[in-house]
Amino acid sequence: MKLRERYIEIDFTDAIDALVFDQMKPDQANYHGIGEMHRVDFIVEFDNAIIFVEIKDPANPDAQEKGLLKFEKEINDGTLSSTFASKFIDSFFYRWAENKLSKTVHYINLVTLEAEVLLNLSDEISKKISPSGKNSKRWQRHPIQNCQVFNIKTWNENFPNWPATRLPADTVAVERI
Amino acid sequence: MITQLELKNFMAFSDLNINFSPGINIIIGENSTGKTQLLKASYALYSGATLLKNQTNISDDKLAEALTTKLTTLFMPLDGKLRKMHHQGATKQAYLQARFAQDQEIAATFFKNSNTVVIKNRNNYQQYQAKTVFIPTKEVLASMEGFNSLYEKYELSFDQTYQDICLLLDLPKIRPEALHKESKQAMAQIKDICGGYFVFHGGGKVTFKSESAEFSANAMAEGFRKIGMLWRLLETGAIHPGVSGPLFWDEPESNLNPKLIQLLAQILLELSRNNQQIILTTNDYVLLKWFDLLIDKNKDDHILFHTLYRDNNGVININSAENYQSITPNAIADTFNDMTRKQVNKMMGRMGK
Repeated sequence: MKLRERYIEIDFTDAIDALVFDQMKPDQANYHGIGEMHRVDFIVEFDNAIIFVEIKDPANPDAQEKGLLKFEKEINDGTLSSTFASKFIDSFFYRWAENKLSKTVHYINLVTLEAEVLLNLSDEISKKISPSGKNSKRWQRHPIQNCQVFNIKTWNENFPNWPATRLPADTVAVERI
Repeated sequence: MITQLELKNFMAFSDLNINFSPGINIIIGENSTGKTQLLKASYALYSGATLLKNQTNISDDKLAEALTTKLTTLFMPLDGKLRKMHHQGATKQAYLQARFAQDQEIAATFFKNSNTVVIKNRNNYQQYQAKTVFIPTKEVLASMEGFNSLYEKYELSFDQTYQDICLLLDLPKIRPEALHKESKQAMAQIKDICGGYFVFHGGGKVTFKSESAEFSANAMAEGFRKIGMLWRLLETGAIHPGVSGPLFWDEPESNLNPKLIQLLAQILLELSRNNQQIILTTNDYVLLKWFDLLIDKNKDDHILFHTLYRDNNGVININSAENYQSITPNAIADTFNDMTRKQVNKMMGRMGK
């Protein structure tokens, strides 16, 4: 099942369901409908687990200097990890209300930056998803099993069955028209 | 300034050739790929010229003797023998050659049974060569009192770089008006972040002075002592942008917290912008990345990343690149990727595979 976010397409070859979760066009299937909530890009279901996927693509060919500076600032001041955490929490809440959270959940993200930066970003997001990264002893299950951020190269190295590709700029431009 | 170095059948290297940037050179590579050896060989050939600087008409034999001593005291081979520095298993002679700015050059060889090197080529070697600095991995401010006299008298297990640095740190400070403006600025930044400065009393005695008190150097954090060495080398003019020879620094990041590492990268870049050549080794992503982020092509910054690696036959090779992304292979990035893989496998098992 192929899903696309702008220039990046991922083929979840062994998924049993895959949806563009942040669908905000009312005439499309899986219309989200609550603009006030943060939303991850994709939610993909497998036999034993569900993954939430958020994609940020500062390396995209349309990236403008102003946007890149904002992105860099957001990494440095922690806003980016807070945004990732909010997207997960709100999407988790939404899927709970849909009664669609019966399996282990992983939060697997793709950010087109150097892998070295992403390791720290992964830890920052994890810490913010449950306060200070703590779990209560009263909890019967963990809301999230793994939270990690990859770039296209490390994604493909680690998930060869879910190939991620950057689409040629002209393909995307034509489809938008 | 050193522009090029060639090493054949010497120490870990069977055949290595490196071209240096006049700005900053960062040498990376896994352990035992010869980073420190490369640094020491460059330092030996550069500083060899200054050993006999005040003498005229130096014979090749005398120069060979001085270079041999420099090499053996720097590398500390088994039994102190030059021949133990011949590349293991090599059948041809060891060959060391360096080229410097202004067409200076030196080339020396030795065999498996040599006691001294043989000078093969020298071109203006002793002329125009400025004093150079090698900062070893361990900081010395806490232990330099009396070190020099001990080093002269006993066979200590410290290589020559430790004596060299202690001697440079104990030089008197130069007149404030003779300090390069960049040196003054760097010293002010270091003083600011350390909350004071080190005072050198002679004979290796060092204290730290803040606004309110004076402490033993031992009482200060190791990171402060490490960056305090740079402060002192600027204060004595041992590092004087545009005048001094290359600054060689082996793993400057050791004992430094990430904030000090950022300051260090900024200072080194500013020094290089003022014609100070810098050659350092590192295992640290933070230092590498700060250089990559702070580099400003509009200011004519020039950094070369040199990566040492073993090929499939175990032979050490070198690749040089102008930016961090182009470094291949990159042992530091590989480690991060290994950690990423480990987490995926631990948390997600076979998913996506």
